[in-house]
Amino acid sequence: MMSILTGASSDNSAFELKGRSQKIMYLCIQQPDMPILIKQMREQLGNSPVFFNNTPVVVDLSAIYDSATPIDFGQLTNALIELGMVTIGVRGGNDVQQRSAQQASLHIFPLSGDETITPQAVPPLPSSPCAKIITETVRSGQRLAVKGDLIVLSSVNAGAEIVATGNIHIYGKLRGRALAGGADNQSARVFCLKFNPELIAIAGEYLVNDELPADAINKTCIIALQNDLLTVDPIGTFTS
Amino acid sequence: MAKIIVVTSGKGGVGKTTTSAAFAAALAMRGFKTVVMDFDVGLRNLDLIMGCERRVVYDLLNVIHGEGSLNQALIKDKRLDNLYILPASQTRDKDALTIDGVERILGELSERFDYIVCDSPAGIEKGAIAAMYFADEALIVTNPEVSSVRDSDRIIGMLSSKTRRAELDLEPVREHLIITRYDPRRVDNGDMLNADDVREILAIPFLGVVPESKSVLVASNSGVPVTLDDQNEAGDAYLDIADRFLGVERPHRFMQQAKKGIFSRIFGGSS
Repeated sequence: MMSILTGASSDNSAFELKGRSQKIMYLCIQQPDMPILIKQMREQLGNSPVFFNNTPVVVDLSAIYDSATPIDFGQLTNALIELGMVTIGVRGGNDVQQRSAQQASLHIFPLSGDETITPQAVPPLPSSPCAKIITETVRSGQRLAVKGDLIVLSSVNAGAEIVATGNIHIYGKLRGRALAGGADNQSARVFCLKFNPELIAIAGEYLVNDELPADAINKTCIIALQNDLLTVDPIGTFTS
Repeated sequence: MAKIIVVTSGKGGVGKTTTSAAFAAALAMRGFKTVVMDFDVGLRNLDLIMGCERRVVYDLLNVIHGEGSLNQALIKDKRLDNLYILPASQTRDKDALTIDGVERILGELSERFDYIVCDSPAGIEKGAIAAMYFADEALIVTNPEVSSVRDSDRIIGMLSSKTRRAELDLEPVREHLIITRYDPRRVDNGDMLNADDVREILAIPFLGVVPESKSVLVASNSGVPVTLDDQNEAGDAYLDIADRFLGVERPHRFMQQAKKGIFSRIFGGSS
C-alpha cells in the first residue's frame, strides 16, 4: 500500500488517500434477454458462492451495443448480489443502455484504449538503438565500453576488457574481463559460450578467476546478480 | 610496388630476427627481389644473423637524416643475388625513427624490390609502431607459451588500429601466424602449448611451425640465415612457410613427434 496524498503534513490529518489496485471483473453480456442471462449465470456460477465474495464487477455492454432491447439493471444487480458480486458500473453500450444504467445508480466507466469498438491505429514503437555487435576477436590490451547491450561474436582474449551498461553476450571464449550492468544495473547478465574470465562483474560486484566455481570453468554459463552475489550457472558445454 | 611485410611479436627473444632473415632469404631463393630491414635501432642484430656486420657503413638512420644515400646503406648479400640488407643504427635510439622518414625510404625501396621485410623490435613502443605502420602483411612470430601468445595478441590488436591501413580505413593488414621453437615432445608432455591452442587464441591464418633446433643457434652465430643452411629442419620449415605465404600448398611438418624406430627404441637413440 502506498500513501499518495494526505490532508495535512502533520500526524493529526483527518484523512489519507491511498492508491491500491483491486481486481475488478468484467461481466461481458453477449445477449440482452434478461431471464436467459440470469438463468445461465445461476446455473454456471451459483455452484461456487465462496469464489465470489462481494467481488466488484463492471457490466460490459460492448457486445450488445446494437441491441434495442431494454435492460433492467435493477434485476441484473440483484441477481449478481445473490451470486456474490457487487455491480459498481457499466461500460460500453449505447446511449439508451447507459442512461438506464445511470438511473439504476450505476457509474459509466470508459472503455480502455485497447478494447475500443473502433480500434485506433497502434502508435509505432519508438525505435531504440540495437545492441552493439562486435565480430572481431577482442584482443589483449583492447578495451571496449558501450551503453546498452554488447554482443561479441568471437572470443575476448586474456588482457582484454569489455564493459557494457546492459547485458553482455559472448559467442566465443571469454578469457579477459567482462563487466556488465555498468555501475548499478543489477538486472544485467553475462551470457558466455565458454567461460574462463580473468574477472567478471555485474553492477560493480565482481569475482576474479580464482574465486569462480571450478565446475563452471570453460562451460557455457549465464552469470547474474542475486541478492548482491554473483551466481554462475553452467548451462552446458561448448564443443569447438 | 613492393609488398611490405612486418615481422613482429610483442615479446622479445621469440625469433623475430631469425624469422626475418630466414623468410627474406627464402623469398630471394624463390626469385623475388627482397630487402630485409632492421628497425631495432640501438639493438642492431639483423646484420649479425645475416653475416654482414663487417660491411655496415651507413644505416637506416643515416639515410633518414640525409647523411648517406640508400644505395650506400643497402648491403648486398654475398650468397643470394636477390637479397639486400638495410641495417639499423646501433648508436642511436628509437626516438630517432620518424614515420615520415620511414615512409620516404619505404617509398624508394618499393620501386626497386618485390618484397620489403621489416624486422620489428620487441615491445609496443615507437620502434615497433614504426616497423608496422606501413605494412601490407604481418608475420606474427609466437612461441608456444602463454606470455608470448598474449603479447602477440596485443600486437595483432595494434595492427588493426595503429597502422596506416587502419588509420585510412583501407583493407586491413593481412596477418599470418608462425609458431617458432616448437617442440612436439614437450607439447605432448604438457610443457608447451599445442599449436591448435595458439591458433584458437590468436585466430589468424596459420603459416606453420618452426621446430626447436640446435642448429638455429649455430646458424645465427655463423651469420647464415637458416634457410641457406642445408640439413636444417628449421630451414626447411621456413621454406615451407615462405611457399605457403606465396600461395603454394605444403603439407604441415614438424608438428608431431617423430616415431621412434625399433632400433632407436632398443638403443635409446635421442630424437
